[in-house]
Amino acid sequence: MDAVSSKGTTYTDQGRAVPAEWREGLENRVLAPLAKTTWRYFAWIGFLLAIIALAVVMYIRQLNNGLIETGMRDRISWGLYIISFVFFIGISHAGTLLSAILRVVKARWQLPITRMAEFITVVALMVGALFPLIDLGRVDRIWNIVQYGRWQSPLVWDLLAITTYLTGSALYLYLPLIPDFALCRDRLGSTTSAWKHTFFTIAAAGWKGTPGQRKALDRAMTIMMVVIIPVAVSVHTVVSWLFAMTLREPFNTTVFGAFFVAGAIFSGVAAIIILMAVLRKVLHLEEYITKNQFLALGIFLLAMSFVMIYFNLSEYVTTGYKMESGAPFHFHDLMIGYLAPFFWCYIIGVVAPIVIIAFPPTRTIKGIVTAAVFVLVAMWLERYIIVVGGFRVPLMPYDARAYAPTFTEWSIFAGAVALFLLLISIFVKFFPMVSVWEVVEHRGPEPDGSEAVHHPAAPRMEAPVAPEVA
Amino acid sequence: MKTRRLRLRIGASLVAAAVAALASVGGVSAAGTQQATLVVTAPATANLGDQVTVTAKLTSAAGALVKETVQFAIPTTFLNGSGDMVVAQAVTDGQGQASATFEARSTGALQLKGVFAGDNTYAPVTAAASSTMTVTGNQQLYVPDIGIALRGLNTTPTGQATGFAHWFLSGWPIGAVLTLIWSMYATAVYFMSRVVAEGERATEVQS
Amino acid sequence: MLHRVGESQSVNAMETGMSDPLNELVDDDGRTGPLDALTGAGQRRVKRRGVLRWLGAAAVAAPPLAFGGQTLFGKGLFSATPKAAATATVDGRLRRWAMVIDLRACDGCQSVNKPPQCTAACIEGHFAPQPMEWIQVFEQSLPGGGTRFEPAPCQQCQNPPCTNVCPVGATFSTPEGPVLIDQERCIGCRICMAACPYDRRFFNWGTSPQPAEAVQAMSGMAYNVEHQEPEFRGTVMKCDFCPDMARAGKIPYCADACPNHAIYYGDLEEDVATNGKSVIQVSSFLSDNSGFRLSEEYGTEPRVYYIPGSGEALGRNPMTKGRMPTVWPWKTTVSGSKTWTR
Repeated sequence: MDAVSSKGTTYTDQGRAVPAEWREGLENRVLAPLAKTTWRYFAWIGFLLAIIALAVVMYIRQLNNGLIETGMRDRISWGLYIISFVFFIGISHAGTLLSAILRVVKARWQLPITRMAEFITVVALMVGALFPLIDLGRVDRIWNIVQYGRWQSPLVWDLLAITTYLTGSALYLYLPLIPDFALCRDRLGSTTSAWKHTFFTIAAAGWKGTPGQRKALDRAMTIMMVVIIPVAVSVHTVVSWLFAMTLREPFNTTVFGAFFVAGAIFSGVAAIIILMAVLRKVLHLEEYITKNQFLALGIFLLAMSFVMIYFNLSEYVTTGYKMESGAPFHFHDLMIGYLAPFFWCYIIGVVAPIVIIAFPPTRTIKGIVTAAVFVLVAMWLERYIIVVGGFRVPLMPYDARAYAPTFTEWSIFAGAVALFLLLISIFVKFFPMVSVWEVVEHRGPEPDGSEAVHHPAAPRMEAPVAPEVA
Repeated sequence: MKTRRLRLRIGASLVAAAVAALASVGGVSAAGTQQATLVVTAPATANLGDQVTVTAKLTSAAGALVKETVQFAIPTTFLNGSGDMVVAQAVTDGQGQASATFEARSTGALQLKGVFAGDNTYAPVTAAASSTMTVTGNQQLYVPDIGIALRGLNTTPTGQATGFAHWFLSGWPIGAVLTLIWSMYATAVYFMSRVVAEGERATEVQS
Repeated sequence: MLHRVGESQSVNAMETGMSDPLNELVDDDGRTGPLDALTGAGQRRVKRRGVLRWLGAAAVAAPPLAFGGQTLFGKGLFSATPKAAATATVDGRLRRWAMVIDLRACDGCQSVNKPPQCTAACIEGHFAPQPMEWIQVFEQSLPGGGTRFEPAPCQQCQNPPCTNVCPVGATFSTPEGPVLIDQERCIGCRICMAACPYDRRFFNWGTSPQPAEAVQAMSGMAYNVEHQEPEFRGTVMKCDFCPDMARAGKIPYCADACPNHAIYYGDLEEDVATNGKSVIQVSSFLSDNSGFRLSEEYGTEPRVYYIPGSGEALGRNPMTKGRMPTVWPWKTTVSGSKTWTR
């Protein structure tokens, strides 16, 4: 894509017409947040910072007094922190799915939202990776993992996998940003501050849109999109092996790796839908992110719902049929006992997409977002019942212990969520949230089904050749 | 004359009562009074870890004792406990011979002894072997059992750290995968640098 | 003494005020007791602070040269000295410590009307902080009704799940058998506690409730991996088979204190064990009396064997349930400490 918007209609590589004024509109809309900031934004940032400040205060208190400030004890030695860890790492798989897998199969509908998806991945990984550190009893000795790290430990696998995934995702986020940074550099020179302009210039890496550059970028992106997929799969598999490598009854199963990856994709898609809906509203992107995206993601959520039901059936039917030692307690705990409220809300959340999305009357943007909210909450509950439910099963003849997160744990969790939102909010001000050049080159205006149309729908052109913009 | 016989009878019954009392204290239901002879033979030398055969011959004035249990023990002191450690037991055959086999686990001069617990007829007998058994050797016999050890997976490498190479190779599957992935990252970064280079080249061409 | 040789320790500067390669603290000479000669001439005396106080991010000691991350099997000092057959056999073979607990002679100390004495002796001997019971007497229901008591120390597995998962090798196997914890390396991630299938690992959640005597007993002593120190808040602790007692030629506190001599401590290498009163040959004792191990199906290969029973040698009726709860005898504990429920 050329740095300077050209006059006239361009065409996507599939021959769809992209009118110039549509493109101008897209660029203006996407770049608007980078140029102007309202007081409401600062109020929002201030609110998030307040929550984070509380979390920091509670964490310092935890450092002072030890982990006794939490609700964890010997018998339930992992709690809200590890639950949140698994939850955030799970969310991070959204980006890989949308950005990498769909790119590999050359789908086009997701192009307006790949940027948001990639951001969720990076931010969720950064926030998720904090939790094992928060959970450590001796975080001052964290260097020991590097110095004395053992290959054989699932925690070291976690460290390696998450570091690798974070690096890969950051790289994969940056590569498609280069042409958009060039757009910012060229279009926002006058309206933004000097340091912002310098930032865009450096970040654009000298992008001019030459064929040589395009080829190089294309090659780099191809490599990354292929390699990031197995990395993403391995990350949540390895996170599941924190539990599956133990001998405790509900953990001691071979299905955990696949189960967690499916759960990650499930929760990640839900997170994307929610974020997409919010940013679409706040940044006025209704014309470019339309019902098409929601529908496609909604159908995907529906499909993943069936996958999750399948995995849950696999797990519970096989275990419940045999009722090996530990299983009776666990089933009672889960379905009619201590964890029953969590479990049944989880089931409702997993089934919600089927009920909402399978039927046309509820298959609206609002309906799909509602289903996504159900799913996200359900997946958090699922992490809770996996971790707490697993630790509750008595290993020796003693009474099962209860667990309830304390105010310290809740405030740190709230702080992490606030940090997640804060990072996204900051990125909204510095990065274009829609991948402009990809939408222009490969997608074009949203086909029929868009809710806000400012221009007549471009007629299908037979012209097979996309003229190169000088 | 009559009193002497009476005294003898009283004396004998007293002795019998005493023996019965002693026997009940000793746990034998009704210990005999007759004396048996126990002869224990053990090899003079053995190697550590060998199966050692010891025999005992249990006889009495009336002949060999058949179907009696003889235990073989070694007086042992271990930490702050000491006593006779029973290492084997056997039942006497038709000739009153019992032989048992046990594995020699300790070195040094072991004083083997045989113990017959007695029965209704016979009193308990303990007899030491004619000579001490000298066991020599120093190879480690017991090896901890951890099933299948997959190097780099469920074991920690023995020995001391010998640097980066050893550390890396002990986890070679993970190391290999990581190397592969990070080299692909490096390739992508290389292509990214090509973007910059191409841009500069285009600028040169233009200017 | 079992510890790492050839590896520098990571020392928390806040606790000792100085960093010191572990090498210097090694004492290779024969010693007669646990406390003496660790502070002999030429060796660093590391001052123990009583209570660990936290003030945000603490300084991390400079990493030593070796980037290797190997856990080491302790180079047993046991074998270096021909001491009176206590810590090595006379001919220099390594001991392979094991325990046999005869449940026929265990009634949870019902007959002496006290809390289980094995647990009490362990707590007193090690100043185990409340509520840690490194040997814990569980009460298991029997199929026909009634209960039996199972004193469960750390099973010192030969295939220990805790050792497999530790990310820094803070818990490690020794050739002599006991699985030890290096409390100066432990980062407190607690994956070992998730992995232990016997519930035998305990975490110092807060400042540990230990008496002042514990602090005094430890002060002046060099750091020793065989001496677990409660003041390491945020690290894991457990039963360690009392390596010091063996070196002193005695059986562990729990075995010593059992009023019915139900706990045998022994060596699988020489196939011998004692409960302080009599000496048994372990292999035949186990075979003749149907010895078993806990949760054999896990494949952990524990070193603690049990002889099935429910106190019948003491005339116990299995239907008499219940034992007295464990007490920690400290009248006062270090300031800032409070107990927690497990």
